[in-house]
Amino acid sequence: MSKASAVMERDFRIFFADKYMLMIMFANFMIDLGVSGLSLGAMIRNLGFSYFLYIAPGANLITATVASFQSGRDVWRERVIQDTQQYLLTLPVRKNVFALSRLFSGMLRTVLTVLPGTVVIAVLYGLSFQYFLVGLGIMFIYSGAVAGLSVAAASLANSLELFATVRSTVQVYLSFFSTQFYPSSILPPEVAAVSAFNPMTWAVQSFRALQAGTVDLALLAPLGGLSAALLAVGFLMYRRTMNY
Amino acid sequence: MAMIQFKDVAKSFKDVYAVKGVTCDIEDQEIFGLLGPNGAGKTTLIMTMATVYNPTRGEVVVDGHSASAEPDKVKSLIGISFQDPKYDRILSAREILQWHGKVTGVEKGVREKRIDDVLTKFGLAGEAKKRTWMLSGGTKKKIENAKVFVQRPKIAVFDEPTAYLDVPSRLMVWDMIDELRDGGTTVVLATNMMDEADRMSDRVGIMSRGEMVQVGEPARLKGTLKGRDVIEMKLEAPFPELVGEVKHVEEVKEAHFEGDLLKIALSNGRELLPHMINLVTAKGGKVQSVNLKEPSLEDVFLHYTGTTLT
Repeated sequence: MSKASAVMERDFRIFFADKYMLMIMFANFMIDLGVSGLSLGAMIRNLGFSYFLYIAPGANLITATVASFQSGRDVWRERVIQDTQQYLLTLPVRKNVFALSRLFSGMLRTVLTVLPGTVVIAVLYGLSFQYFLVGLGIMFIYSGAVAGLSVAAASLANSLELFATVRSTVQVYLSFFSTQFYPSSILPPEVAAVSAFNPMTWAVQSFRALQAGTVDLALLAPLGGLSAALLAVGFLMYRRTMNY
Repeated sequence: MAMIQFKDVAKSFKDVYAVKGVTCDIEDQEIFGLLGPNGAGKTTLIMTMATVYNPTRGEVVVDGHSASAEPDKVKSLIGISFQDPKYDRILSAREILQWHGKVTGVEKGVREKRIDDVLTKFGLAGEAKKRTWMLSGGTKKKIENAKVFVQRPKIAVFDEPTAYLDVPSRLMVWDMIDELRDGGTTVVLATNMMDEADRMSDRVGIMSRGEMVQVGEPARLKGTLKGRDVIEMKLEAPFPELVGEVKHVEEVKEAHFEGDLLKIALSNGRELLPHMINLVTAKGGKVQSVNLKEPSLEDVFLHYTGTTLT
């Protein structure tokens, strides 16, 4: 356990090496929420509900996506740029423990990063403290999917261009093939079909369900399943890079 | 019992063998110099010992534990200072050393004291909080070495520990490696610097093209190059007749003049030096200066590998 916590401590030190990191991420969220949310909310009024509140969780989940993808970026940088992976493998930490700790720390870092944004959404939605904690849980589960995917991509990509392209593609998929911005009822049928199998959809809908006073297990179960599957893929791909 | 045993260790990457069947023991608490040009297989051999590479053939046994079967036991014994610094350059020197000490199991109080000591010795106390990407190449290298000095493992590996360092820093690192060994650590010193290997090593292993071509004490290896001493005598003027006289000495292999410099290749040069001076003087040569060149470790390397250290 102490080895795992040491590995996670390093990830936190790297992620928060810049003391303004948390503030910058929160500022990004607030700009997204304030500018996009308020302006779009003012433009779109015929849905029968507040569009501002509708897209608010999506802004927080985008921040979570960025924070979670840093796990892959760390792994990629160690493999390709800094060439520190071999050093890390000489340390007295089991490879499985090492790989799992990296993924878990990526999820914890994400929760910490989106904590202020989640507080803002909890206030906007009028959530109880228990539901606020459920909201953080949704963020934690969602971050597992992105962290797993990013680490898998980082384990395969041997160039910055490829890794950056994968990241952009994943973000486009998560944002635009989901119900982050629009209800599935107004999406083109093909897009709606794809968006039904998107962790962003499951996460953002779960958040919206909290506003309605529901913890929707029908959304959380597939989110958890996909997250576990992508974490497993990330773990296996990362472990594969450790065998020489 | 040997601390490290390489038993017919081979490692290939795809079809290319970087290490080709190395068998060698490294004794407890010795400083073992691992010599070889770039690409000789030194780093691959070290990485195999450190459990990072799985050997294609053979076995590495470290303190009685198989590196393949018990990698966690073996990793807990080893600390490596890499040729190129390997740490997160967004972190400060103190953060890097704190984390390295923590993950290698150095207790907090001891860890902090060692960090303070090492940073002070290296003159880095004032730069300990700077992000390491801002620091010079020499300073980065010192931090890489410092990781092992804070860890004080049972087996310390230094890969080119004094590369990029100025002379005072080199001497400091050498002293610290000696202290580490005196404290009970076995040291593997991979280097291209012959003076470093000669000064530091109890024994050296010479690697070439993936093979360990020679292992022994530096003095013994140099002694194997019989007939490779050279006496250079600067005379007042060239004296060609002396060449024939000198060649009558049994140990002399070759002699000739280069200008007013008489060059004599022979064995046992140190013992025969007075005799050769007397001989030349007795025959009328006026000796102005004398220089004895004995085989260096580099000559040993050249002899056994047919290559130079580049």
